[in-house]
Amino acid sequence: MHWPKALRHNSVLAALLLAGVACAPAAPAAVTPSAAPTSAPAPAPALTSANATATSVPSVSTPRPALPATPTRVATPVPAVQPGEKPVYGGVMSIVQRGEPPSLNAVKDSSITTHHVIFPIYEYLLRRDPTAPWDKIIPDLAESWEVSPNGLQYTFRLRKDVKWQDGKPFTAEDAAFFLRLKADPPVTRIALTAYYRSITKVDVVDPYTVRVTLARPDSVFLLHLSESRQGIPPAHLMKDADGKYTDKVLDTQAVGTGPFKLKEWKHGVSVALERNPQYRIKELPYLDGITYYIIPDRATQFAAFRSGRVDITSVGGGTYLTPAELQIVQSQLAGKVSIYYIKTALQYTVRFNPSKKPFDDLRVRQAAHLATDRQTALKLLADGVGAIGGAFYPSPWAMPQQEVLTMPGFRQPKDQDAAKAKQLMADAGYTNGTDVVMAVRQEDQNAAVWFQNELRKIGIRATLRVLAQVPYWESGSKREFPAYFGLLSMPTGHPDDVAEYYVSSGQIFSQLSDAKLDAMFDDVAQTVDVAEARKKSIALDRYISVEQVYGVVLVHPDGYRAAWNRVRNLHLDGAGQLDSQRYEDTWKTGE
Amino acid sequence: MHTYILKRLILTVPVLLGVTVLTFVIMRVMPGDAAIAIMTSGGQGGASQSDLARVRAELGVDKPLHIQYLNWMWSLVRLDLGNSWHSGRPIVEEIKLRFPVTFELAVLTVMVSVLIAIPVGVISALRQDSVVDYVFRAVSIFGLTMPSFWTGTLILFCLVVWFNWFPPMGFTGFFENPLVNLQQIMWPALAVGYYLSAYLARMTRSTMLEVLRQEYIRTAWSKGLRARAVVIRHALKNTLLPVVTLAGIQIAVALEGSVVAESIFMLPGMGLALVSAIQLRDYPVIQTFMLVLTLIVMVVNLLVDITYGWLDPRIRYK
Repeated sequence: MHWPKALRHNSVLAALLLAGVACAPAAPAAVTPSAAPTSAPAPAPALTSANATATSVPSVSTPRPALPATPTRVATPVPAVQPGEKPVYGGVMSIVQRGEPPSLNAVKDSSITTHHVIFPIYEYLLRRDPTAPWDKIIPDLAESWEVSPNGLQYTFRLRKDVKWQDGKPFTAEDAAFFLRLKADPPVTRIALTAYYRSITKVDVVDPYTVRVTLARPDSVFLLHLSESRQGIPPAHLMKDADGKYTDKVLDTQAVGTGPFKLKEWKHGVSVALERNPQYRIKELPYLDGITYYIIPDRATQFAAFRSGRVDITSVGGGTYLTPAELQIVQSQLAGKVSIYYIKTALQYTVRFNPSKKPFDDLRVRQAAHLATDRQTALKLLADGVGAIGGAFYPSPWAMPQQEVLTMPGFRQPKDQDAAKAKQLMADAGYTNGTDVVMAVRQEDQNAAVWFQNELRKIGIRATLRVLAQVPYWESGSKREFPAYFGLLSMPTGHPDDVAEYYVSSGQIFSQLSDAKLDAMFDDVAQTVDVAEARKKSIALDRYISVEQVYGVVLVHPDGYRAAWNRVRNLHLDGAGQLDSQRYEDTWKTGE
Repeated sequence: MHTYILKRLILTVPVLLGVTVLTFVIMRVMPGDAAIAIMTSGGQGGASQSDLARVRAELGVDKPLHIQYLNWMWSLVRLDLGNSWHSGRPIVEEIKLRFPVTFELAVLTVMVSVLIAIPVGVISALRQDSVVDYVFRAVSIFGLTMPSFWTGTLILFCLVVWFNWFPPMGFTGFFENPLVNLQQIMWPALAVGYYLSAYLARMTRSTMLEVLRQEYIRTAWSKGLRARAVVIRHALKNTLLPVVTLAGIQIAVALEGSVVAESIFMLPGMGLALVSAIQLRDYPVIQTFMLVLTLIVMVVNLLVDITYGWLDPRIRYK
């Protein structure tokens, strides 16, 4: 019996044809420096920190300091801009985007997937310096500001040379509109209104001056204004035909004053930005555009980067380079790719519900705290990349690292703490241990399994109830379980970022009712003197993490991003996950 | 035949009604508050119970269930598919954008599956218990056991590591640029098609073996007909009946199960959008997508049944 030849030949031919077509080499992504923008700006001046001012092109020629050498950080020194190296105009930079933005709405949506792509489009009243530590606030749309001695009035003087993408001028009316919108939302779905809760009045003093009056001093007000999701939208586009408020236009349009504007949003595929010719700094940006490619799969993200199809890896929890990827970058792409250490401000936390056994007993909570081996958590849950700390991400607002590492529960070796933990459990009447159910988000279950084992050492037999994100938060709002395990973030490093998990003012995430804790959070927020506020914040951190143990923070995991060296003058390792990503002074060479 | 087709089309109505009830009930029973999903987009944002109550009222989920269902039915009757609760975009726009991608992937997947499975199954049957048969059967079993997401990831990494090549970024429609489109969609079709071909190849082989044992085949051989004539003209057509059934089911599987391939290969299809909608409790999107996918599966099944009549003239529909 013979093979039917036609069948054999046809299938081989078909396979060859398909393989040939599919493997046709695609044109390599070429970077062609385009002509300078049609407004023909002068070549970028050689800038140093000496001649850079708030209104001029930011410094690009000052060599960036090498990153501090610590055992856990492998970030490469960011390639300094070489002497004589001039920025190049042109090219489109591509970045991995981990998921489809639910919308482009800067006022309604607080998700990082949205703000990652719209960050270069908007400007803020104030901004965090992308090249400096956490909370160095610099001018943005407000070129200067004054605070009244009693801390209740802030006067912002706005830049006069700012235009919206449609050519209309940015004025104090826009700033006032934004502040009023956040302070007194006309609709329910306005994000992050808690940041503006202390505002009682917003006045337009003149076309370029706006004054804000607070009900009480707020030491974090300026920091909140500079947080990376406070982009100011255009007031003139946010009224319908009847003059009523609407932000519908922002669902699919992002209209700002930043260096880039929205070119095209291909749903499920990419978000493309292009140079904004109305940007106030005429020489900027250098890039023709930025394209964020939506790549949901983790492995595909790295494959796209490794092959050179995208210039920069993604941002956001769960998307930073794994140890294996880091190893590939270091061994196979050395000299071509730079690695950036990202202070993510994330934390693996278990929050206790003191209204449910066994965590209604402080001794049990303290036992859990003492039993947890943070150093092992750092190694296993964060691949050695991150920090050990209390309830607040290590920053000037948290307990100092040197102090933390010597404290019971955080220190090594663990023998003493482990013995004390068992003693506390016995004192609490749990000599034979106890069973408990702990809710955990699907994405965080690996870390939860590790913590489950830590609890087992002191006799707490925890069963994990793995929940998808929405049921997890819903369960938390109903305070169903004794403990909630998850990954939290602190975008500004200030305690206000996590207040909603601890205060008892009806916030859906909080499990607690502690008037003293509420008062401490308020006190920190209302203390105008920053040094004093930080002292109180440290005390607050100690109260939450050590005295009352309302939660156990296992580790603050940081991460690494990578970028091809053809992208120049990146500041990815600046404060926060997003603040460094406006890219106004970034350029791309053809290498 | 026309009466038969008309009857089948009429029968889709009660089936679709059943699907609407099932989908509606499952979504309402599933844990997860849609209002929390909206207010916490990303897990933070701070919301109070009164905020949630207002959002629930805006979405209409505070109404009695039967009222919610009837409101939805009434909007369907008016052909108003509504908007996504999260993006605000009209759902019909989402379908227009995503359905062609998923459909193209499903069709290519089944084509790959058939192109692999039928020759493999036929050759395996003709060379039963030979080395070729064992190799093909081993390859089939390998395809059965290897999940398509793993095959897909493997393909991607082989391309990157061995050829330093990655599919072009940014999905391009077939009519925009067929070559680029094929470079992007070929690989997920191969990954899922290989997985599905395993079932098809085994079915083809066992059916072919049965057919080859029939008396009319023996008669054909004894008449001295060439192998090509015996296998292709006589045996293959009868082999294809159950294979066509399976291939039809595979289109449904490929349509519904495309989410993994879409995720790995960055395709903006319905699968990924549906999973995202389920995670976010975007009820209008979930309910509408389920309806659309059900309708397509029913149409595909109808086409499969009609194909029987062509393959086997003994089958006539009344």
